Amino acid sequence: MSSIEGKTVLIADDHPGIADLVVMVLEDEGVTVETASDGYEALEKARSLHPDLMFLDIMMPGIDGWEVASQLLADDETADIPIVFLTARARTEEQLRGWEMPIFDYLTKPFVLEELLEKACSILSADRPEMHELREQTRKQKLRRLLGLDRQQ
Amino acid sequence: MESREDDLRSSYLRILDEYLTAQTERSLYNASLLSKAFVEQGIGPEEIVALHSEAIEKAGKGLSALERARSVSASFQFLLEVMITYGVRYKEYLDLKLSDATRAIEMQLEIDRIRAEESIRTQEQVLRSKEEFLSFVAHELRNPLTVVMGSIDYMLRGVGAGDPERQRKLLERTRESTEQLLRLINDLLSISQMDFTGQTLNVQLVELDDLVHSAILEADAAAREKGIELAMHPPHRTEKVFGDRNWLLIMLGNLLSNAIKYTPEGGQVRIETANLGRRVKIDVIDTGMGVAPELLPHIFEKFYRVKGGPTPFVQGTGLGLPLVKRIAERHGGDVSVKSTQGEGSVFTVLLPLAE
Repeated sequence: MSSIEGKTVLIADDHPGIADLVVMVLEDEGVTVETASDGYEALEKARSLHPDLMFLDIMMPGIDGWEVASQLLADDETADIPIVFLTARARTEEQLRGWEMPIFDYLTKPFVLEELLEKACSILSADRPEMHELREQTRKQKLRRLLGLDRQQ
Repeated sequence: MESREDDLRSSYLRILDEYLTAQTERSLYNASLLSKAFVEQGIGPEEIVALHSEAIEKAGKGLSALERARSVSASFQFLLEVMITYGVRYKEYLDLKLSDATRAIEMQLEIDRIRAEESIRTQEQVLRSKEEFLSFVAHELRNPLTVVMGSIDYMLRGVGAGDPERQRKLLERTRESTEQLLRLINDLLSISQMDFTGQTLNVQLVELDDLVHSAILEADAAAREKGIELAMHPPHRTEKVFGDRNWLLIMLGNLLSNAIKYTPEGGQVRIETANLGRRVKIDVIDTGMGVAPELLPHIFEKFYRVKGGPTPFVQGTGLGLPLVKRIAERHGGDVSVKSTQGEGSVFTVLLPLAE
């Protein structure tokens, strides 16, 4: 756990209660957490802080999370910021849309706090070479689950 | 029509006469043209034969037996020509009628098909909007639930949970979230009751004065908390409206709590009423932040706020204003809004006046 101390995480969510929770649980681990409450602020802070991880809500005022993510990923300066969607949009087609981007995870609300913390730890403690592997593993696992769920329905 | 038939008859007699005199091809050609006219005019073959016999009889008068026989024989040639053409024309005529009928049937089928498709489309639309509605409800449940579950998780984890400051904050957030869930459930219930036309209103004579004062009384605590002054102008009215007092109170209560929510501390919210003759106008006026122009046309749509309207986060269910609109409509009235950003908004309810 010590390797994540001093890292910076940005949480972009217009719901203050949710941002507060993420701040508390990560600060307990020695992580610096910054917050953004709309899409513009999210873009601006991602560029100026270049966080080691970004939790991104989708439905936000201003510009939405989809747009924030695609702008950050399209820019060489910010493309390497690991993005994890943290959203109430839980429908399968929405999750699949998220996975079309090179994101690190797509977490749906309500989430289990412990899982969010584990997710943050695994990304923040990964070396640069491990990042890619980590992302691909999660993607495969999540996609399999999503498509498998579809078959059951 | 009568004269047209007479014309045709006299034409027939004239052409027959020509033929009997000169026996030219031109007369036969004219006879075939005439057949077409007979078909179109609905003059049947038996009528033509009768006409023909009559003409021959007339023409034969005063002729010798031999001349008469020659004349009758020539006239048969003529009649044959007319009848053959008549037959051909009649077939063409029937074909035409048949294809007209076929076309009419085909057109009717096409209309039926389009109607059926339209009805399917409408049903699909209803289904889709219901599905969309449910998906928004689910979405709106998820955020407060996340806060409730997350706060409990955090306190159970125990790491930073000993901090009384944090405990209090999380409990407050949990409390707010459960209130939000309750509001959502209440609004969902109300709007489905209003949408369901089978829900009868408990209509009675309601005094406008009493209605507005009751609404202001209920909103008073929330207004006082923000130091907002609530007022009614003019302070007294004598008009009455027909309506369900409880629903009308919910309607005004929603407008007032909205006005208070969007008005900064120390601002003003007032209700102005006016008698427009057959209707009464109730304006709820605030000195709040106003509504963005691009949002105005959608402000009475369910969950518009959630659909990505450019509003900052405010506690609300996205169902308050749609509910206001439905209540006003169920009372034979309507609601509209005017707003200037940074200056405030005016929500206007029109209700029919009771005599």
